[in-house]
Amino acid sequence: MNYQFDFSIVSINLSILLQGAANSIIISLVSIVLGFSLGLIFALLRSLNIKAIKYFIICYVELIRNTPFIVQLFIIYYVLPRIGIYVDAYPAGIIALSLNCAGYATEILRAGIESIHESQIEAARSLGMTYFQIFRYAILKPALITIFPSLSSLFITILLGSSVLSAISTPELTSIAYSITAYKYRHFEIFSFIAVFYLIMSNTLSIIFKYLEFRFLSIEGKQSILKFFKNVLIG
Amino acid sequence: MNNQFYTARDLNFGDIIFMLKASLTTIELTIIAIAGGMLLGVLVGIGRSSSNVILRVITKMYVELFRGIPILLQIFIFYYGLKIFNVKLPALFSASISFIFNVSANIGETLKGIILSIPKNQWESSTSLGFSKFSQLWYIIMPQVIRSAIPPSIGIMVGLIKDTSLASIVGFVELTRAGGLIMSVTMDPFKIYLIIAIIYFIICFFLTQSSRWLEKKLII
Repeated sequence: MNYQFDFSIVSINLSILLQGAANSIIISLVSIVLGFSLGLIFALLRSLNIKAIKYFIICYVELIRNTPFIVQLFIIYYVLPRIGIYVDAYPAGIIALSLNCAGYATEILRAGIESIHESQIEAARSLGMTYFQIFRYAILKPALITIFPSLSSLFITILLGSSVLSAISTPELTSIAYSITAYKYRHFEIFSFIAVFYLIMSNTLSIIFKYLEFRFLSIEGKQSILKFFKNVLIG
Repeated sequence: MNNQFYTARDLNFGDIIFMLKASLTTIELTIIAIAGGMLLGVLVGIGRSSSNVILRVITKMYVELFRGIPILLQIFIFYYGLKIFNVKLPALFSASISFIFNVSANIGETLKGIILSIPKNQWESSTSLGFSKFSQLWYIIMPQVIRSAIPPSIGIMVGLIKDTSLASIVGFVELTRAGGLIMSVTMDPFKIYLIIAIIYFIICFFLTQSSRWLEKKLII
């Protein structure tokens, strides 16, 4: 093997890469917010039990969950112009990512809604809780405890999935890195460097979610921060 | 409507046969990756659930590494990394390497959850019956683990089938790439990607439904 590793290409283009990382974060945050809101609407509509709406939502969820994201992305990016809707790579990426997120979020939120039994609310009412207290302690908190782990892993998946948008050259971290490789053909160096970027981003997000869960949703919430870090490091 | 896009020819029956053949490649890739991933994943799962702290930290880092990097980047890194080190493998195997590591991390994490959910008294009573550490794992724990690991493994497999579509970006000809190749001739993205989506949907939907059925069947 006579290959000389040369990481100088990374340090020269660091500012562009940082810009790309910022783009990635913005794209995934916007998609998460849009997708989660759409998922919430779908999950609530589904719980109304109106047949037509229910089957439409079931079809949507199954379609999203059973086809690869890159195919959904290509359909949105290549097919929409054919029917007269011209979308740029940037909004097309956000639309695809949000629709994908909505499909998964609907399923997770439905599980959360179904985990609340009527008797739980009745029990809270018989204890003399106010409406706000019932919502907070008997509905929101137990539902969040059920769905929080899967919701946080969905958000991390969306953050990592934003790298797929490079297939339609949305200006996010992976596609910017790919365009830099064209100068000097240092693919391995650049990709392993931005892998560290992604590792930092996804782990930060995961630690934030774990902390929120530990602090607000677990029974051990009042215990020391030391235990939390032990939990994060060794698991 | 098509007058503004140049097309060489229309979509024909041969293209659909080509796509079906390519979907077989997708399935081959999935099977190789899931087989390799399971072998590695069992080791990771045992490491993750062991009482040895060092082993736990190492396997935790392994899992975080392969789950914290986008699968697309892992494909890129293995693709260009193998080139640098002059490793020449058949395309199918070099495409499956990155999936093997990714799947092993996912399976390891699932197995850890299942192993830890097995009641402690099973370990204690098998120790008191004189089982060694290995035969404890082999005869007492693993049969139960495998049983409850089947439905989540199918879920991981569905995720893997969807992820294999990313191998198309480095030029491996599987279902998605085959669609791209045909599209460069017929310029008809709607029909092609619709067919591809339907093929993926059929494969994945069948697997998800069978996993739901097994979950009911295997209730312990």
